[in-house]
Amino acid sequence: MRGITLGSTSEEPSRDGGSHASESRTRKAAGPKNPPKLMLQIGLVFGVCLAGQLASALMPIAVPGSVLSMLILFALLVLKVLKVDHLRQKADFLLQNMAFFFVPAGVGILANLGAVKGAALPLLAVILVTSVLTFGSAALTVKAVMAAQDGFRRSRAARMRRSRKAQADA
Amino acid sequence: MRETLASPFFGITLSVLAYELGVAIARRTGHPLANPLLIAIALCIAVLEFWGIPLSSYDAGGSLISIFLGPATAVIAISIYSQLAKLKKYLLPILAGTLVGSAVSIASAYYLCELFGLDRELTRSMLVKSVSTPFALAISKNIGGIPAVSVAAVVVTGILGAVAAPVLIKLYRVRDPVAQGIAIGTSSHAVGTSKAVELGEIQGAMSGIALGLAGIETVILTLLLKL
Repeated sequence: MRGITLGSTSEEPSRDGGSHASESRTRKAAGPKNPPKLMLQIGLVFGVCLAGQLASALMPIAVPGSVLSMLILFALLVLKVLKVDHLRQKADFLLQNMAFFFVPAGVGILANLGAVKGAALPLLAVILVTSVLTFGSAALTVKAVMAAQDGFRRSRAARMRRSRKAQADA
Repeated sequence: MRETLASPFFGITLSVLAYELGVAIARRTGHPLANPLLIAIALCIAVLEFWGIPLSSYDAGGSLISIFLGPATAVIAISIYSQLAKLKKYLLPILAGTLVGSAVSIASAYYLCELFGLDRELTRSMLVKSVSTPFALAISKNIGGIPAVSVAAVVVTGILGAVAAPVLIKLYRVRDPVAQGIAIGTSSHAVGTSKAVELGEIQGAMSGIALGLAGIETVILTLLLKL
């Protein structure tokens, strides 16, 4: 059983650049024919989370254990200690059901309603407006900086082409 | 009967049934606002309120589901790793987008709360609404907010963000998947990220990066404001 979300990507990880082509070949060759048993995958993911919790306790500022476990798992993948195949089934299960895991957190709002001092409606309005503004400012900034970066890269490439051509002419 | 309801099986069964019903309704209507998570939460709350079941009974099972949030966030690392080339190429836009988004979130929350005449404690609790709960709790305590209000604001922001993401993408005409993911993760942290994961792997990976970066940037920005 291959996963849906991650299955396609690790098969063709070189979509964004040629530099990954050789890497994908070695990964495929070295990759295990049979991924580890699901129980072992579960153990691996929970182990990484435990390491994240530990790291979180040691941090001088509050960084959640889940964010640090993401960082640790990312490092393990980059350092090739773990392969995507090692975790695929478990990761697919978690990612495909991620929204579901938030149901209890949402129901838990019930416990906090008393604390809002009867200002639930204005607070809801604040959340609505700020969310629209935050989303827009983040999206537009990414777009603008991307466009600026692309423009800069293009003009640099054009400059290099020109200078190469000038050299060739000389 | 009360004892049966206090068993973890009650919270888990109720959550799964409510969510599956939400998925069915979302599929049937096809409307972006018919969000399975939102429907599931509303159904669970309705059941608890209607039969007067205490939240603690539900939470015996609910807390077991919440445990999976940590691992689910951690495995986004796999998506990020698959998108390594994009991350390297767009590092600057990603950093700029999360930083501007976080600053706008804090500033707009502050001025709107002032506008509505909310008191100091409530205002401070609202500054952290766009970052995930552990970040928000720590910052809220640090700057003199009410942790319970911050938690509620964070959860509502996340759910609204997940529901509104497809609408906001259309509103702002964001076609680039990197920009979509960064905007979702910056404005609605991990709950929004669950929606980003559904939109595509690039969006999921970028939203995961953004939720971490926005959290750290919000910690730093609020520390600077406090000085």
